[in-house]
Amino acid sequence: MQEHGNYNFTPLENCLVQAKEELNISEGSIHDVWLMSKAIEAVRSMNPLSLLIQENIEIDVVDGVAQFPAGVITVFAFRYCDHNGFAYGNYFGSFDWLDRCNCYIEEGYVGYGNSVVYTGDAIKFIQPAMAPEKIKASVLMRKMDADNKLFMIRDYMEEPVTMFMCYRFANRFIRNYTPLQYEDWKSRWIAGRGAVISGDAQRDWFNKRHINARMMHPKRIQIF
Amino acid sequence: MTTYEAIAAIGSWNIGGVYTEEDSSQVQGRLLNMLNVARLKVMEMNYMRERYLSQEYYQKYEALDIMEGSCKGEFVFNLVSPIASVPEPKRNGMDGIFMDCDTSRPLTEIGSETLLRQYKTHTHLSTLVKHGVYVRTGLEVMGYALGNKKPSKLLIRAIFSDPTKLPNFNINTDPYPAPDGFLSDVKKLLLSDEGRKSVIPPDNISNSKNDMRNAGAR
Repeated sequence: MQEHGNYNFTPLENCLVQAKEELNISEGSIHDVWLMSKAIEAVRSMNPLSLLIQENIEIDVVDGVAQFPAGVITVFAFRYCDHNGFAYGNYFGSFDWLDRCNCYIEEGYVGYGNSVVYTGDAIKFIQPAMAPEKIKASVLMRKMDADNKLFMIRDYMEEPVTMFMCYRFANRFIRNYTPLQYEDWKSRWIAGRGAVISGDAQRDWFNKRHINARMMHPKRIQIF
Repeated sequence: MTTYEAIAAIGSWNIGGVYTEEDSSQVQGRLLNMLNVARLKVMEMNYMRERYLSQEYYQKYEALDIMEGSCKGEFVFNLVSPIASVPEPKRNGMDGIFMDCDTSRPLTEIGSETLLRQYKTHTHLSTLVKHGVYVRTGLEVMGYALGNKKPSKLLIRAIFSDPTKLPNFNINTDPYPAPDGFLSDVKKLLLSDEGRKSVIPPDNISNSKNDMRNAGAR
């Protein structure tokens, strides 16, 4: 199904460049770390739904531990994988929540419990000697940049994040900027933040409308 | 305008009297020092008024004498001249230290060594620095480059307090790093009372006939 609203990912560093231009401190890097910490604060404050994506990734298993790369929030399922990237064997998944709903899936799936432990940021194999070289996992994650250090944002979030950086910077050096600038940056941050959150919620609803439609118009409920 | 021409222009104003007992190199050195101090003062005054620093003030050079520090991946080198201080929020006249000419992003300047050490262990601030960091103590620059590898050369772009200290800087041919029209501001500054106090040192050996203190003493 085609997604509603196809927006590009851009690195969070774009906001730093724009904020420094806006604040007239384009030379020098002495405020960079502080400003970037504010950018992260802004994104975390918005917590936008559109930054969470489903990705399929390959992870090396070292000493029986498959450490997730930065940005991974949770793992849906995974398969063993050889060094050529060819996946084989059963699908491993955490189906505890399905079990709790009395929905057992047995065919072709194996639960985590017997062979691996999922610790939040890594998958640890109980018997490292039996562990594969790699695993291929389907994960829920934030998209990271090329250096795998900072997460990417959608292009329409650049403005509110930049405005937040300017607003907090003007708050820090209050005498160096006019009250008009301060109010402008602050109000544009508040408006932009609301637009991002509501826009993402709307797009999320549209992207899941087939699920919603199914829930609203049930054709048949089968009870075993 | 070359540095020599700027010195000659200031010399022609005869501020502080005519120093007849000194040789020309001493006079030139004194005037150059006066010019450098006045340049920084004019720059600061303009920045406070317009919140803008002209790009003409900046200079760049390649630092090649980079040494390894005591810790792994640490590098240390000395600047050829102090960096100009600029009122907040800029704090200093440093534009950037670059690992090579045009492709890489600048090393990130950290305000103090305390912060630098704290950033290294901070959970998410440590991920913000991509190409390396540095901290400056007077002339000494100490930093860490990405991948714990000592850079072979670094390109430095900044506003230097003494522009003539840069390697290969020629007073006769190289332009003096200041924007057009800056000499008129320098003249206003040097002729003001504040300028006379701050720029011209107290002079007890001058034989100037124009010096009011000497004239009164006689």
